[in-house]
Amino acid sequence: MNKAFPPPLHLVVTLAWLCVAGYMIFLYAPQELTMGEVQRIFYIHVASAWTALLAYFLIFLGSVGYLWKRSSFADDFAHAAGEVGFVFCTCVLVTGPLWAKPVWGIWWTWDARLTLTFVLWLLFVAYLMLRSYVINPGRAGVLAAVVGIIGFVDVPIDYMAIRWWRTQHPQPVIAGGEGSGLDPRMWVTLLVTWGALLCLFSYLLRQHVRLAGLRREIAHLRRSLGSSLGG
Amino acid sequence: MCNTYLVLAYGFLWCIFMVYAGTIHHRQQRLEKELEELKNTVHGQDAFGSGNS
Repeated sequence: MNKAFPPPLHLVVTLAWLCVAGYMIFLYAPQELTMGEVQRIFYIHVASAWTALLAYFLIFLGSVGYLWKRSSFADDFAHAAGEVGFVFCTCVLVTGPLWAKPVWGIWWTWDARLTLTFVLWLLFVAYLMLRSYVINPGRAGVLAAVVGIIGFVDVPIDYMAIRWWRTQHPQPVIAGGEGSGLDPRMWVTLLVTWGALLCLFSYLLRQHVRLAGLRREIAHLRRSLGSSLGG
Repeated sequence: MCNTYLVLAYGFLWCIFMVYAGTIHHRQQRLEKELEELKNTVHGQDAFGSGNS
Protein backbone atom coordinates (compact mmCIF):
# COMPACT_ATOMS: atom_id res chain seq x y z
CA MET A 1 0.00 0.00 0.00
CA ASN A 2 2.78 2.41 0.98
CA LYS A 3 4.68 1.83 -2.28
CA ALA A 4 1.67 1.87 -4.59
CA PHE A 5 -0.02 4.82 -2.91
CA PRO A 6 2.47 6.68 -0.67
CA PRO A 7 1.10 9.04 2.03
CA PRO A 8 2.21 12.29 0.25
CA LEU A 9 0.30 11.23 -2.88
CA HIS A 10 -2.67 10.25 -0.70
CA LEU A 11 -2.59 13.74 0.85
CA VAL A 12 -2.45 15.44 -2.57
CA VAL A 13 -5.40 13.34 -3.84
CA THR A 14 -7.35 14.16 -0.65
CA LEU A 15 -6.75 17.91 -0.97
CA ALA A 16 -7.67 17.88 -4.68
CA TRP A 17 -10.84 15.89 -3.94
CA LEU A 18 -11.78 18.30 -1.13
CA CYS A 19 -11.35 21.23 -3.57
CA VAL A 20 -13.68 19.53 -6.08
CA ALA A 21 -16.20 18.88 -3.27
CA GLY A 22 -15.98 22.54 -2.20
CA TYR A 23 -16.62 23.67 -5.79
CA MET A 24 -19.63 21.37 -6.08
CA ILE A 25 -21.09 22.36 -2.70
CA PHE A 26 -20.92 26.11 -3.32
CA LEU A 27 -21.19 26.44 -7.10
CA TYR A 28 -22.66 23.27 -8.64
CA ALA A 29 -25.39 22.18 -6.20
CA PRO A 30 -28.64 24.14 -6.52
CA GLN A 31 -29.88 26.32 -3.67
CA GLU A 32 -32.64 24.70 -1.60
CA LEU A 33 -35.88 26.68 -1.85
CA THR A 34 -37.07 26.85 1.77
CA MET A 35 -33.81 26.86 3.76
CA GLY A 36 -31.64 28.82 1.32
CA GLU A 37 -27.85 28.98 1.56
CA VAL A 38 -27.63 27.42 5.02
CA GLN A 39 -28.84 24.07 3.61
CA ARG A 40 -25.35 23.65 2.12
CA ILE A 41 -24.23 22.52 5.60
CA PHE A 42 -26.16 19.33 4.75
CA TYR A 43 -23.31 17.98 2.57
CA ILE A 44 -20.62 18.00 5.26
CA HIS A 45 -23.04 17.19 8.07
CA VAL A 46 -24.39 14.01 6.43
CA ALA A 47 -21.01 12.95 4.98
CA SER A 48 -19.34 13.40 8.41
CA ALA A 49 -22.13 11.41 10.08
CA TRP A 50 -21.78 8.50 7.65
CA THR A 51 -18.01 8.54 8.14
CA ALA A 52 -18.37 8.55 11.95
CA LEU A 53 -20.72 5.54 11.75
CA LEU A 54 -18.26 3.78 9.46
CA ALA A 55 -15.44 4.57 11.92
CA TYR A 56 -17.33 2.90 14.75
CA PHE A 57 -17.96 -0.11 12.51
CA LEU A 58 -14.19 -0.30 11.93
CA ILE A 59 -13.61 -0.13 15.71
CA PHE A 60 -16.01 -3.06 16.00
CA LEU A 61 -14.13 -5.06 13.32
CA GLY A 62 -10.72 -4.24 14.83
CA SER A 63 -11.97 -5.13 18.33
CA VAL A 64 -13.32 -8.50 17.19
CA GLY A 65 -10.03 -9.13 15.35
CA TYR A 66 -8.01 -8.26 18.43
CA LEU A 67 -10.03 -10.40 20.84
CA TRP A 68 -10.12 -13.30 18.40
CA LYS A 69 -6.56 -13.35 17.02
CA ARG A 70 -4.76 -11.02 19.47
CA SER A 71 -3.47 -9.23 16.39
CA SER A 72 -1.61 -6.03 17.29
CA PHE A 73 -2.49 -4.61 13.85
CA ALA A 74 -6.23 -5.07 14.56
CA ASP A 75 -5.74 -3.27 17.89
CA ASP A 76 -3.84 -0.39 16.25
CA PHE A 77 -6.47 -0.21 13.51
CA ALA A 78 -9.34 -0.02 16.03
CA HIS A 79 -7.49 2.63 18.05
CA ALA A 80 -6.86 4.72 14.91
CA ALA A 81 -10.52 4.39 13.82
CA GLY A 82 -11.55 5.50 17.34
CA GLU A 83 -9.47 8.67 17.30
CA VAL A 84 -10.25 9.71 13.72
CA GLY A 85 -13.92 8.74 14.18
CA PHE A 86 -14.09 10.94 17.27
CA VAL A 87 -13.02 13.95 15.15
CA PHE A 88 -15.71 13.22 12.54
CA CYS A 89 -18.39 12.67 15.21
CA THR A 90 -17.42 16.03 16.77
CA CYS A 91 -17.93 17.62 13.35
CA VAL A 92 -21.45 16.12 13.21
CA LEU A 93 -22.31 17.51 16.65
CA VAL A 94 -21.00 20.98 15.75
CA THR A 95 -22.38 21.32 12.21
CA GLY A 96 -25.80 19.93 13.28
CA PRO A 97 -26.64 22.73 15.75
CA LEU A 98 -25.20 25.32 13.31
CA TRP A 99 -27.75 24.10 10.78
CA ALA A 100 -30.56 23.61 13.33
CA LYS A 101 -30.48 27.12 14.80
CA PRO A 102 -31.50 29.04 11.65
CA VAL A 103 -33.90 26.29 10.46
CA TRP A 104 -35.59 25.06 13.68
CA GLY A 105 -34.91 28.12 15.83
CA ILE A 106 -33.13 26.00 18.47
CA TRP A 107 -29.56 24.73 18.80
CA TRP A 108 -30.40 21.33 20.26
CA THR A 109 -33.23 19.06 21.34
CA TRP A 110 -33.08 15.67 23.03
CA ASP A 111 -34.85 13.70 20.29
CA ALA A 112 -33.92 10.11 19.38
CA ARG A 113 -31.46 10.83 16.54
CA LEU A 114 -29.63 13.67 18.28
CA THR A 115 -29.43 11.83 21.61
CA LEU A 116 -28.15 8.63 19.99
CA THR A 117 -25.50 10.59 18.08
CA PHE A 118 -24.45 12.23 21.34
CA VAL A 119 -24.25 8.72 22.89
CA LEU A 120 -22.06 7.67 19.96
CA TRP A 121 -19.74 10.63 20.67
CA LEU A 122 -19.60 9.59 24.36
CA LEU A 123 -18.72 6.05 23.26
CA PHE A 124 -15.80 7.41 21.22
CA VAL A 125 -14.69 9.42 24.29
CA ALA A 126 -15.00 6.37 26.59
CA TYR A 127 -13.05 4.24 24.12
CA LEU A 128 -10.21 6.76 23.87
CA MET A 129 -10.15 7.39 27.65
CA LEU A 130 -9.77 3.66 28.29
CA ARG A 131 -6.86 3.53 25.88
CA SER A 132 -5.18 6.51 27.56
CA TYR A 133 -5.72 5.81 31.24
CA VAL A 134 -5.22 2.04 31.56
CA ILE A 135 -1.46 1.69 31.96
CA ASN A 136 -1.05 -1.97 30.95
CA PRO A 137 -1.25 -1.93 27.09
CA GLY A 138 -2.63 -5.50 26.84
CA ARG A 139 -5.35 -4.79 29.40
CA ALA A 140 -6.18 -1.45 27.73
CA GLY A 141 -6.55 -3.25 24.39
CA VAL A 142 -8.92 -5.87 25.83
CA LEU A 143 -11.07 -3.36 27.76
CA ALA A 144 -11.26 -0.99 24.78
CA ALA A 145 -12.20 -3.90 22.50
CA VAL A 146 -15.06 -4.83 24.85
CA VAL A 147 -16.34 -1.22 24.78
CA GLY A 148 -15.89 -1.19 20.98
CA ILE A 149 -18.02 -4.31 20.57
CA ILE A 150 -20.76 -3.46 23.09
CA GLY A 151 -20.95 0.17 21.94
CA PHE A 152 -21.55 -0.92 18.35
CA VAL A 153 -25.18 -1.60 19.33
CA ASP A 154 -25.69 2.19 19.15
CA VAL A 155 -24.72 2.41 15.45
CA PRO A 156 -27.67 0.64 13.75
CA ILE A 157 -30.15 2.17 16.24
CA ASP A 158 -28.73 5.64 15.55
CA TYR A 159 -28.98 5.05 11.78
CA MET A 160 -32.56 3.74 12.01
CA ALA A 161 -33.79 6.25 14.63
CA ILE A 162 -35.38 8.62 12.09
CA ARG A 163 -37.08 5.67 10.37
CA TRP A 164 -38.43 4.10 13.56
CA TRP A 165 -39.57 7.21 15.44
CA ARG A 166 -40.99 10.61 14.49
CA THR A 167 -38.33 13.04 15.62
CA GLN A 168 -37.42 16.72 15.33
CA HIS A 169 -34.61 15.63 13.02
CA PRO A 170 -35.75 15.55 9.35
CA GLN A 171 -36.97 12.23 7.99
CA PRO A 172 -34.46 10.47 5.69
CA VAL A 173 -34.08 11.91 2.19
CA ILE A 174 -31.89 8.97 1.18
CA ALA A 175 -33.38 5.46 1.21
CA GLY A 176 -36.34 6.90 3.05
CA GLY A 177 -39.08 5.34 0.96
CA GLU A 178 -41.81 7.10 -1.02
CA GLY A 179 -41.86 10.88 -1.01
CA SER A 180 -38.19 11.16 -0.06
CA GLY A 181 -35.47 12.12 -2.47
CA LEU A 182 -32.88 14.62 -3.56
CA ASP A 183 -32.25 16.70 -6.66
CA PRO A 184 -29.79 14.68 -8.83
CA ARG A 185 -27.18 17.47 -8.57
CA MET A 186 -27.51 17.44 -4.78
CA TRP A 187 -27.07 13.65 -4.85
CA VAL A 188 -23.87 13.86 -6.89
CA THR A 189 -22.54 16.63 -4.64
CA LEU A 190 -23.27 14.59 -1.52
CA LEU A 191 -21.52 11.51 -2.94
CA VAL A 192 -18.47 13.52 -4.07
CA THR A 193 -18.27 15.17 -0.62
CA TRP A 194 -18.54 11.82 1.14
CA GLY A 195 -15.82 10.45 -1.17
CA ALA A 196 -13.57 13.38 -0.24
CA LEU A 197 -14.18 12.86 3.49
CA LEU A 198 -13.56 9.10 3.12
CA CYS A 199 -10.26 9.89 1.40
CA LEU A 200 -9.37 12.24 4.28
CA PHE A 201 -10.50 9.63 6.81
CA SER A 202 -8.34 6.90 5.24
CA TYR A 203 -5.33 9.27 5.10
CA LEU A 204 -5.66 10.15 8.80
CA LEU A 205 -6.30 6.49 9.66
CA ARG A 206 -3.13 5.22 7.99
CA GLN A 207 -1.08 8.03 9.53
CA HIS A 208 -2.41 7.05 12.96
CA VAL A 209 -1.67 3.35 12.35
CA ARG A 210 1.88 4.38 11.45
CA LEU A 211 2.09 6.25 14.79
CA ALA A 212 1.13 3.05 16.60
CA GLY A 213 3.76 1.12 14.61
CA LEU A 214 6.45 3.63 15.65
CA ARG A 215 5.35 3.34 19.30
CA ARG A 216 5.63 -0.45 19.17
CA GLU A 217 9.07 -0.26 17.57
CA ILE A 218 10.25 2.15 20.28
CA ALA A 219 8.86 -0.07 23.05
CA HIS A 220 10.58 -3.11 21.49
CA LEU A 221 13.93 -1.30 21.27
CA ARG A 222 13.59 -0.06 24.86
CA ARG A 223 12.93 -3.61 26.07
CA SER A 224 15.90 -5.03 24.19
CA LEU A 225 18.08 -2.17 25.45
CA GLY A 226 16.88 -2.74 29.02
CA SER A 227 17.48 -6.50 28.84
CA SER A 228 20.95 -6.06 27.36
CA LEU A 229 21.86 -3.56 30.10
CA GLY A 230 20.34 -5.85 32.73
CA GLY A 231 22.19 -8.88 31.33
CA MET B 1 -25.48 35.59 0.24
CA CYS B 2 -22.85 34.99 2.91
CA ASN B 3 -24.52 33.04 5.70
CA THR B 4 -22.84 33.23 9.13
CA TYR B 5 -23.86 29.70 10.13
CA LEU B 6 -22.57 28.29 6.85
CA VAL B 7 -19.23 30.07 7.26
CA LEU B 8 -18.96 28.90 10.88
CA ALA B 9 -19.71 25.26 9.95
CA TYR B 10 -17.18 25.09 7.11
CA GLY B 11 -14.65 27.16 9.05
CA PHE B 12 -14.90 24.81 12.02
CA LEU B 13 -14.50 21.75 9.81
CA TRP B 14 -11.45 23.20 8.08
CA CYS B 15 -9.83 24.20 11.41
CA ILE B 16 -10.45 20.91 13.23
CA PHE B 17 -8.96 18.83 10.41
CA MET B 18 -5.96 21.14 9.99
CA VAL B 19 -5.25 21.00 13.73
CA TYR B 20 -5.77 17.23 13.95
CA ALA B 21 -3.57 16.49 10.90
CA GLY B 22 -0.97 18.85 12.42
CA THR B 23 -0.97 17.00 15.77
CA ILE B 24 -0.56 13.62 14.02
CA HIS B 25 2.36 15.00 11.98
CA HIS B 26 3.92 16.49 15.13
CA ARG B 27 3.57 13.19 17.06
CA GLN B 28 5.07 11.27 14.14
CA GLN B 29 8.08 13.56 13.98
CA ARG B 30 8.65 13.28 17.74
CA LEU B 31 8.44 9.46 17.66
CA GLU B 32 10.70 9.21 14.59
CA LYS B 33 13.30 11.33 16.39
CA GLU B 34 13.00 9.18 19.51
CA LEU B 35 13.33 6.00 17.43
CA GLU B 36 16.41 7.36 15.69
CA GLU B 37 18.03 8.20 19.03
CA LEU B 38 17.24 4.75 20.42
CA LYS B 39 18.64 3.05 17.30
CA ASN B 40 21.85 5.07 17.65
CA THR B 41 22.09 4.03 21.31
CA VAL B 42 21.56 0.34 20.43
CA HIS B 43 24.13 0.50 17.61
CA GLY B 44 26.58 2.27 19.89
CA GLN B 45 26.08 -0.42 22.50
CA ASP B 46 26.53 -3.19 19.90
CA ALA B 47 29.76 -1.59 18.67
CA PHE B 48 30.99 -1.29 22.28
CA GLY B 49 30.04 -4.94 22.96
CA SER B 50 31.82 -6.26 19.85
CA GLY B 51 34.86 -4.08 20.64
CA ASN B 52 35.10 -5.64 24.10
CA SER B 53 34.87 -9.18 22.80
